[in-house]
Amino acid sequence: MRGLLEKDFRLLWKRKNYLLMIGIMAILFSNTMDGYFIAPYICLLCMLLTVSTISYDEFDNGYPFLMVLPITPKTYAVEKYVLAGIMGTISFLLTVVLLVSATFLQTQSIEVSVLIEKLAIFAPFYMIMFSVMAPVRLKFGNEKSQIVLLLVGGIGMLAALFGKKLLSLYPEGMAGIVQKMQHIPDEAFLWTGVVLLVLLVLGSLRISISIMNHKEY
Amino acid sequence: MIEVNGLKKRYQDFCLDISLHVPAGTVCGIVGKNGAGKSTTIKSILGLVKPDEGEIRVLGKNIGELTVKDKEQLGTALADSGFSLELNVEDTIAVLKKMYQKFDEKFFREECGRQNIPLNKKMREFSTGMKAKVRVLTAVSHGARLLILDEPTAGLDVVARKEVIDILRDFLQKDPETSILISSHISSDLEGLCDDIYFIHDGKVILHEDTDRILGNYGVLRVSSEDFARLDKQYLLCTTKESFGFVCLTKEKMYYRENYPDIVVENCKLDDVILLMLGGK
Repeated sequence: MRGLLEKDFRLLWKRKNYLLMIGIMAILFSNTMDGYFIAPYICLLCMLLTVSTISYDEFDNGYPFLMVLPITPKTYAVEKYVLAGIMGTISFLLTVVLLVSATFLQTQSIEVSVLIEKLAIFAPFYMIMFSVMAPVRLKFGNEKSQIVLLLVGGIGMLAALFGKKLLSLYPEGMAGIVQKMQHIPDEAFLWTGVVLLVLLVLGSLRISISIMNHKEY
Repeated sequence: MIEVNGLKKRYQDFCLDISLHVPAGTVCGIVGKNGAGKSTTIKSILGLVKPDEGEIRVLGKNIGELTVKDKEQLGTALADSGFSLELNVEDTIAVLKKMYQKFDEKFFREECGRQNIPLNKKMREFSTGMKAKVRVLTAVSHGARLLILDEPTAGLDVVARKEVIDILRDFLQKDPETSILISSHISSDLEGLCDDIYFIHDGKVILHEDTDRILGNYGVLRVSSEDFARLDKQYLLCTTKESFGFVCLTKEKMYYRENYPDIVVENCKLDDVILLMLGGK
């Protein structure tokens, strides 16, 4: 696992010009536009960088060699999720630092706890996106996975439209549902979300491990 | 070290059906044309492709039971696969240090220096020979007990091929108990290295013989049609019709030299065996 992480961080570092550009853009955004825009921006780019390490492994027929190193296919899959966790943490910390610095430069004050609370919304976004992208990329490779992800996105849109249609059948509408949900305590709401997210990530990891175990190189 | 019994792997228009054995302390070669099944055999032994039938044991264990510790005792070089070419050799050293407990960094660096391999240049900019040497050096630099090498000299010029083979010879000298399984379609590379050789064609072993026996006892007979008619054919392995008569492969060249002093009996090389076995009847 340590060797794989070393490899991936070194591969990411090879794109230091790209990373530098992301950093400069993020600094510009944090100072000029609505500062919170940089949170999804950094979050999305960090996730794409993480997924790009799978592409690097795939390029130049790299998988056969990686799989004869002292690792297992399971370790390989788990490492990608660990890397995603590290990159997610880095993107979160970077966003906090940039936003705090920006408000400091603009001689405004900001409550860090409020900031963290606002930024925490992007964690589920990051986790859901990676949980979908990782197994698709591992299963279908670089080119086919883009088509599959478009299909997944399309299916997601259709499901959302279908859900909206279903809600319209409900006599009290969306407002009624929201009103009923307000009776649920915040903690219960939060923990349900956390558990669902953890289940999603674990499910995605299990699928990725199974893909790697059944793959031929 | 390696035992392959009744390995079968079927693809659409190809079926591999092979058994082979690599004892401890031996160097075993697999020779055959492109597409003969060499790489599929090696990949099956490494667990990269799943066989349809048969048993594969490596280091005394079924291939599926190999642990990470066991895999540390394997050194592998594949013809068309290695570390990402975006990395440089310094990067691979850092990765290998974390992958293998016994990675010999000093040896690796010294050998890179000896082979004029730059440490800080992206490997994508390397020549084919340099890439091949890095792959072989990676395989021999962490105290492996068994090397499995798939076409390590493919695409190399004669000088680079010799240098790669020399790295393997040095590796064998360090510990005579180590074993090597090496495939190549350039049989001359294996002549001075291998103890025994498997000739593969269309997914099957057509000949398994000690290298010394091939080079010492096998011979090529070039005879006219009249000479061929009076020839004792019991020691002939195969025969090919040529414009002047027949070319025959024998495993007892001394018998023919002694009993037919008037016919041409040439010493045999591995290439002759392949050409005649594949072209002969």
